[in-house]
This record gives sequence, structure tokens and C-alpha cells, in this order.
Amino acid sequence: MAKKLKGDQVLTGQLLREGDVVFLTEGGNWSLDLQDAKIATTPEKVEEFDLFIAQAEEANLVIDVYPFVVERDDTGKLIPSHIREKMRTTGPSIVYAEL
Amino acid sequence: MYVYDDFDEKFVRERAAQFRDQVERRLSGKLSEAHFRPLRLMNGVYLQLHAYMLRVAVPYGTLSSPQLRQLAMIATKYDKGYGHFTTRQNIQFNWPKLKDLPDILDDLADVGMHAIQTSGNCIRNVTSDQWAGVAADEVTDPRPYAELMRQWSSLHPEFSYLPRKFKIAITGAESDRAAIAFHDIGIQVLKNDAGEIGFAVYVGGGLGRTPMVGKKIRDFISLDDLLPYLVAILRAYNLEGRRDNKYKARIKILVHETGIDGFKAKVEKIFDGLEKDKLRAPAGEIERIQGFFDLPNYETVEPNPETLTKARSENAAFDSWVKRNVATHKQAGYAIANISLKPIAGIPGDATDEQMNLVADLAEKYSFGEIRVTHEQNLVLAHVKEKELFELWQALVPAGLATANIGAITDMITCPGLDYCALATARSIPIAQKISEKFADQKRQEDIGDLKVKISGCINACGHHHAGHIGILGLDKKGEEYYQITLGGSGDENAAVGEILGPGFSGDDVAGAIDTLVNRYVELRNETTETFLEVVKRVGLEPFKEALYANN
Repeated sequence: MAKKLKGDQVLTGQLLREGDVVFLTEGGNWSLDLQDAKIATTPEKVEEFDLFIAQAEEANLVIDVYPFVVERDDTGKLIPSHIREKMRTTGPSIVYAEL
Repeated sequence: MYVYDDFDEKFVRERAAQFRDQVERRLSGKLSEAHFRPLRLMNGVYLQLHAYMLRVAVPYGTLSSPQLRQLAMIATKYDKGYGHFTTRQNIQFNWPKLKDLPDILDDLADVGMHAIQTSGNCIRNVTSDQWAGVAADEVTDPRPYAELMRQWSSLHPEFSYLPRKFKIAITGAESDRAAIAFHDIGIQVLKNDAGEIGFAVYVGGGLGRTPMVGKKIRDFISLDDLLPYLVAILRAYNLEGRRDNKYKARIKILVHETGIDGFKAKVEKIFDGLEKDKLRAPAGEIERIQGFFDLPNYETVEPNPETLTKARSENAAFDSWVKRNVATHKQAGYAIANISLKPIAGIPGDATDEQMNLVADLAEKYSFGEIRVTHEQNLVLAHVKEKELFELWQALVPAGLATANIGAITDMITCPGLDYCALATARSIPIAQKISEKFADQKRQEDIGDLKVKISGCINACGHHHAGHIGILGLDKKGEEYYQITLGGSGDENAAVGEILGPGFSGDDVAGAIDTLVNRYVELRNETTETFLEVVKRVGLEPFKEALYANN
């Protein structure tokens, strides 16, 4: 069941085959870009995420599905409210695989 | 080095084939995620923050050149061109795809490697001293006993579903480079007055949210009784360790709550009742294993040759590297060359595929084709002729592998933290990078001397912060990262848990705080040879607290 967290929420998971982080879109698909995410603005809309969580499990495409809280920055871009989800959304904050 | 026999080969191939079938069934939907998760974890496959992660076992931290090349190949072909060496002497790949993992396990099996028991509530990879076999202060090479324990613990039917994970470390030296006091079982190889090999056994050590220094449970257990005694400890733990609360499930909690005397009584009772003959290694097995760890055929070479002295006098950077990174070898004319994976402002423990290939080549050229991984996330070439050190160093420099900082402040243990880890509460790597930049000056590092800074990105303490002379713990405060600093920890033979200094710092302020602490140390030390830890022991925490918090 989707948790009733404070604030607007989006639904995230990871692709079963690749492990990539994805976000549920308005059209019911999964996007690699947070900006495509469907936003739940009321407790009722958050509740509806339960259906998508069940569908994701059934479809066997996306795993570890859960909602998190988002806000908008000064430019109107969606950003996660919590540092963990910020890191998860943007990828490692360091330059890796370089000498 | 140990080489797989037919049994090992068949066993690892079978497991790879089983995993291939499990992945196929998962991808086709025949296996649910709930059913698949424990299966993938048994093969070292985690789901991390951005991707799957594969942890590959490097038994007691020893690799051959072909094995390291294969790891480089896996990094190139299936990952993003790099791997991360861990505090348990293993290597992790951060970006494998689930669909590729069966092929990766086959590739590992091709070089006698696997990812079995690198996760889950079982006996994990047995770790050891990275200088095993060559350290000047060693009683004997601990690796044959580590290998014996590897064989004994692999898929052990009684100990595959323990209350929680179980880590064993073994050293053959007085100076503890394997942090045995912070393991579920720590073992020190000894010789008695009769010259017989035996083992001092420590139990109940660990880091995490409840750090504990291991307690000695036996002064000397004979080689014959080693495996039966381990069975007795693990059986006592398996029967009485808590399964109702994962945070209280490690053996350290059981030992702490029972008391070492009470726990020892339970272990000894079980031990007395064992049919020991059935639990001992078969006759001749340890001798067979020891045959794989015979020292290489060293040449008779001149110790401290003129060419080395000359190169050191003519090249200050090389001289710094020899001082910091080269250790005394048992064999005259040879040296232990430590390769730092902590370049200034780099990512601690990371190595690119090119670097791995280069080290594999250099190991073949200069060190009998053998590489060691350290629990401090560095590499070692254990058998280098002193007269070839300069050549080796010249080959390491252009690859960014010649940082002269082993044991210095910029040689930090650092967990992956919130840049990769799903459990982390804060980032570790950027903190390490800022500290590294702050202390980049070689002269300053050399003036400071040995100083172990260890950074964890959550209370699980994979970055060993409790054991750091300076420990840094990243936490989450209302959705933002902040960092606690501890002082006085130690992971060696004088193991100690660090104490928290006071209120935490933001990520931007940590490096400055460490700078303040180090400056205070330099002011307080009586002479330049008085180490950071000695000063902390002499003066206590107050002068450091005062330096950090006086203005707040």
C-alpha cells in the first residue's frame, strides 16, 4: 500500500532486466526521466498508486516500486524533497570511471 | 596461490548454471521477485540505488594476474569500465544488468572465481592480512588456514541460514592488519613452545550500530581442533542468536548479553560433545593446501642495492613513495609494494579496467603474478625485488597508481555511501574527496604521519568509522546530510571504538573540522614521532572538542 507521505508524490521503481531507475508516467508507462512522472497531489491519487504497484508486479517489468515526495525548484522542475531520492534520481554525485 | 581442483570447479560451474536457470525463470515471470531475491543475494547480486550490484569474492584478498584481467574484462564488457575494492577484500561492480549476470558468473568461473556467500546470513569470505606469507613480523602464513575455512564454510549445510551474516578474519602476525578484533570470529595464528601451530580465537567483535571489540575465547586451539571449535562457536550462535530482531542478531549481541564467560561455557560444552574426528579436515588436506602457498622461488639478490639508494636520492617523489608505500619483506633484497587506490580527490577503492590490466601485467613482471587486495581498499604486489622498485614506480605513475599515502591521512577507508548504496543515509565519497584535497600536500601528510580516517555513510559502518583514529559517520537529519565525528578508534592489535566528539557538521564543513582536529594534534604532540592516537590517549577528547566547538 502506498504510504500517505506529506506532499506531492511520484511512483518510482527499477527495471527488472537492467536495474535502471524509472518513474510512472501519466500514460501508465515507465520513464527514465523524473520530469515525465505522474504526480499525485491528493491522498486519493496517492492511493491509486497501489493499483500501479500491483500492475508492475504482475507485468514483471519493474521491481521495488514505492512512492516518494517531490517539489518544484525555481524553474518549475520536479525535484525530490529528500536527499536519498535526489541522489537516486540524479545518479552518483561524483565523477567515476576516470583515472 | 590456491588453484581449484575438480571438486571446486564442478561446484562453482553448477552454481553458475543454477543461477542462469533462476534468472531465466525470473525474467520469464515463473519466479516472483520475493522468491528470486534470496537466490540472487546468495550469488552476491544486490539491488542498489541506481542499478544491480555484483560483489565478487576474493578469498583472503589474493588474486592472480589472469583473475584480475578477467575482472577488468567484466568491468569493460558488462559494467562502466571500473570496479570497487571493498573493506572485505572483495570487488564490487556497480552497474551490471540482471540479464548479463549469468554470463558474468560463467566468466568468473573460467578463472576460478565466484560470488557465492558474498551476501546473506552465512559465513562470508574469510579475510586475512594482505601481507600474509611475506610480512617480516609473521609467525606463519595464515592463508592455508583461511583456505581451509573457505572450503569448510562453502555451502555449509548447518550454517547457511544463520541469524545474521558471519565474518571471519585471520592473521599470522602480531601487528593486526586484518582487523580481527572487529569480526564475528577473529583468529591469530600462533606457535607454542613446542613449535606447534595453533590459534588464539576471539569472538563477538563487530562494527555497525553496536560496535564491539572481540573477546578472547581461547588462548590456543590446536590445528586439529580448529574446525571443530569453529563448529562449536557457530552452533552456539545458530541455536541462541536472536532471529526476532535483525539489529540484535549478530553474535556480538549474544556474546555481550551472555558475557564472554557464559558464552565460552556454552561453546566448550558443545565442543566437548562433538565427534571431532568427523569434523576435522581429512588427513593430509592442510599439507595439500599449504603446497599451494609455498613462497615463490626468490632469487638471491642484494638487499638495499645502490640503484635503489641512487634513485631515491635523485627523485623525491619516488623516495616519498618508498617511505610510505613499501614495507619490509621476509626475504632479503625483496620488498612489499603497496599500490594506493586513494589518489588525491579520487574515489577510494575504485580501479578502472585499464588500471586493473596494468596491475595484472606489473604483477607478472615484478611479483610472480600475484596481487593482494587490502581491507583498506588498496592493492599489494607482495614480492618485488628492491632493485626493481623504481621501474615499478615509473610504470605506476602515469596510471595514477603511485600516490604515496599508505597509512596517511588521505588513505581513507570510505564506503560507497549514498552515491551508490540503497541503505546509506549520506554520501561518503565526496567527503573523502574534500578531505583528500585539503591534505593533498605531501610534506604536510608526511609531517602528520600515520593517521587513519574512516568514513561510513550510515550506521551499518561499512566504512569502519568506529575503528578510525578519526571516524566520520554520515547521517540523515530531516532529509539533509550531516556528519558525526569520532576520535580514538583503532582497528589494529590495540582495537578500540572511537568516541563521538559532539554535534555533527554539514558536508561542506567536515573537511574543515578535520583540518582543525589535525592542527590541534600537531600543536599538542610532544615530538613529531608522537602519533595522533597516542596524543588522543594522553590528553583525552577535551582539547579536540575545545578546538572544534569553542566558537559555537
